[in-house]
Amino acid sequence: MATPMLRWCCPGRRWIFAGIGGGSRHGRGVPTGSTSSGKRGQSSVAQQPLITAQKPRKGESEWAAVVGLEIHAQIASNSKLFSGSQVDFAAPPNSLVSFFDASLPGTLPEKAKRRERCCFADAGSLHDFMACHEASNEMPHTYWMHKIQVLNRQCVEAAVMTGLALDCHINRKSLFDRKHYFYADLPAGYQITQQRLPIAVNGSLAYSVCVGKRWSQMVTRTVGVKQIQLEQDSGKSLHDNLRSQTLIDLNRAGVGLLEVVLEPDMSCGEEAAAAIRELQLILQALGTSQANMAEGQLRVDANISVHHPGEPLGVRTEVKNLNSARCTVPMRDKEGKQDYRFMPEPNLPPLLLYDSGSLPTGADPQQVIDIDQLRERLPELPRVTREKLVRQYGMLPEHSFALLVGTDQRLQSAQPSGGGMLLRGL
Amino acid sequence: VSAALKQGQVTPTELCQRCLSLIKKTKFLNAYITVSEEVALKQAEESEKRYKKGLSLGDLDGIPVAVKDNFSTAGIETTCASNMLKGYVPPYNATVVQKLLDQGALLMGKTNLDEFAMGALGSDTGGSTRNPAAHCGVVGLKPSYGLVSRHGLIPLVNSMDVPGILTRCVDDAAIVLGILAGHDPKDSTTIQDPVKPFTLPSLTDVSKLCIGIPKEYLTPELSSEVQSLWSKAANLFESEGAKVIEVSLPHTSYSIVCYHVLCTSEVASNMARFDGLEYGHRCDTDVSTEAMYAATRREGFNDVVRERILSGNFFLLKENYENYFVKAQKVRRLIARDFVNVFNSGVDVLLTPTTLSEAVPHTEFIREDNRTRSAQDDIFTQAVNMAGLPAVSVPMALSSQGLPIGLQFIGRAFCDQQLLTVAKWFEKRVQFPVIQLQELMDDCSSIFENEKLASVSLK
Repeated sequence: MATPMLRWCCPGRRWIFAGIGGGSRHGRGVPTGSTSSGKRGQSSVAQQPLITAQKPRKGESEWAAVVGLEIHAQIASNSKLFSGSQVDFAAPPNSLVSFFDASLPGTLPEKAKRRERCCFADAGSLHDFMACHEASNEMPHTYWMHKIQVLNRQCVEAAVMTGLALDCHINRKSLFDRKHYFYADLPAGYQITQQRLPIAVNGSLAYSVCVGKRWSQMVTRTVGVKQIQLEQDSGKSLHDNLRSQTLIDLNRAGVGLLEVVLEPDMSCGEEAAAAIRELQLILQALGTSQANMAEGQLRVDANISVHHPGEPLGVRTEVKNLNSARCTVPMRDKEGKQDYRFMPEPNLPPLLLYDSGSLPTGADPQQVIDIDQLRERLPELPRVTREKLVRQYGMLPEHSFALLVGTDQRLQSAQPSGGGMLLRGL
Repeated sequence: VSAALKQGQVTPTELCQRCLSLIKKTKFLNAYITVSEEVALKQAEESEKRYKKGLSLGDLDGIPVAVKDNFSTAGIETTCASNMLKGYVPPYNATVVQKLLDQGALLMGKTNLDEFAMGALGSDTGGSTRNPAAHCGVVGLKPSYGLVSRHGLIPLVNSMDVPGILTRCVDDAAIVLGILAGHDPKDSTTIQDPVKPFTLPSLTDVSKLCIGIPKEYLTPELSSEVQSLWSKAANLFESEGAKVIEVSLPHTSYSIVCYHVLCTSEVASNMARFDGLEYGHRCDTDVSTEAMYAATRREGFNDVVRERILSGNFFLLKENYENYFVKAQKVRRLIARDFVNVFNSGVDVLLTPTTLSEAVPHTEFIREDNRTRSAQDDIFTQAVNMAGLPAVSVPMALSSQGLPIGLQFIGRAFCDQQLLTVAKWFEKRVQFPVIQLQELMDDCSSIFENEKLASVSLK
């Protein structure tokens, strides 16, 4: 897509459109009103491990932590969610920005490239629609969005497959919303996401965590998956404190993201890290995301509170942009309450999915998404692979964990197998 | 005019020059924000070449058109009449603009509007094609929502905006609609099918037609002149054999408030992109991002726009969302369903006034605040936008003051062709004294010489 005519500011100004890679900030929430325009976001890398239960002092009772996670995984698709712009991490700054990505006035979400299209909406007859007396958040005008609409097929399939792999219920109908906040890397002033009715809900993620000092002391825990939603990524801000300016690269603006929300079922950093690693492996096995934290393809926000056991939960604090599952964050950030003024996205009709039982007759398979078909196509998940290794080769469980590592981890030698999950050579 | 071009009675360049001359003479009206003289003359030259070779592109080849300044035009400043977009030159054409240009139309310039179309003048979100049409004695068509692409139309309310067409007669409106309508891959809210250009049949027999008169539209504020013309029109149809019945749109009285909540909410959202970072106005503040946003938006938007943004953001707050936005959506459904019920009962077309009265003088116009005025002016037109239906205002007669009055026809969704057919029949019967171009220029010459007319600035 042609680079839009963005303004280059003269020295002395604060904002310049350029990009020097790195420095990712996931645009969620507005930092507290600081007078310095330089410092933004919380791309913090900590020196100490995550707060675990502190050792109780004499006379004081223990602290318990409650951790929930919001994980953003960049979808491994060729083009962006709502525009035909290419997705390429290594491209020169602001070279993959369509007019819509740049939020030029008058632009609308549009079709992906030909081969990635799929059909997704058919709001039925007006009579049926109007006959429904129930309270509905749908905007009535979506009726007029006719039979076949278009969304990026790869992105929708990625969301469905991830939902299936996490035992979620896949919503046959899901909706898009606008989430409003002001930030330089969010040109529209809002992000298109799925807050009200996301594509998948109520799943679970099983992971194993070491409880003792030895590998053999591994236990399986489960964390609830509250929901999975499709949403747009924001652009990237690079803070140049030396010159008191911030550089903006919009290449990433509009790239499809999967947000996986994990319930606050975890109680410490080790559990959180283990859960994230397992999710990473799953995403890589599915091929839905490369989930490489170092490249910003997987970003984690943690919601943490501490309390004394038996007492009510403490104040929840949100920590943004954990970039590594190892060095996790102690920095507490107390944000003011942010109201995102969610509103249905008026330019997109509901996303409709089908299964083999509900496929419309005569539907072009290229134009619809069949959940059952996707289920059949699911590759073997890491959990299953490990079980096989234990069952068929008599391997110790702890060794099966050591063998299956994500592409983030360093490897001695590797034999690539589907989806980026690598087996270390024996 | 198209016929005259085809027959060589007038050349595109001559036509263009005449228009430019008229624009210059009426400059005091401030109707144009940007006059694209060079562009238009160049296009005229190319059109002339095509005519000489006998290769005209169609009915619109060489026809001068003007486009409201909230449509994106490549290389031509697009401001939405707002300081916020002063100096903004888009890199792309709105789909409807492109379609006109592809047909050889000459782009004379960008016309004025209320800032970001938040007033009585605007592209049709609440009536702002039909209202001015009624006041000026021209045809104003709002097509069905989804029939014409909104790509490049700088949005006010995405779920209600429709590009509106203003022409001198119903046949012209049909020609333009035939060119503009149809699927656009760049706008997911357009219908899937392409639309072929069509010619309107000349209806002679209206005995199978059923005209509905919504009783709730008979309001005390309606001027007696308009009311009497409305009755006259109804009688006209009846006397020619059509069935004319009273119908009810019971939720009419809620539509203004409902419209206000939904409109301001969407506006607040759509205006969020105007932050001074990428395009448009940016203030000089260097202190912090927040300060820059605040100052830019205060300087860039006038108080009407800021008021609507504040209202909209209020309605979208978490604690208010259910009570305002969601409720308004439910009411919108009910309003849309009112129309569906009426059309399902056998009515083909509804006949209503377009405006409460003829155009009021400027001094009276500015007396009321924007919100009251909009509420008053849009009373007959905005429910149509909420229901997504096609509607057209057709001039009927001059008032006792010599100002035009028009009436509105409302049709079923996507039955724009049928709607225009009925409108054409009506237009033929009432024989409204349409102003002729030459006459207009002569009048303007005399006005121009007598420059006592105050400069009117539409803000």
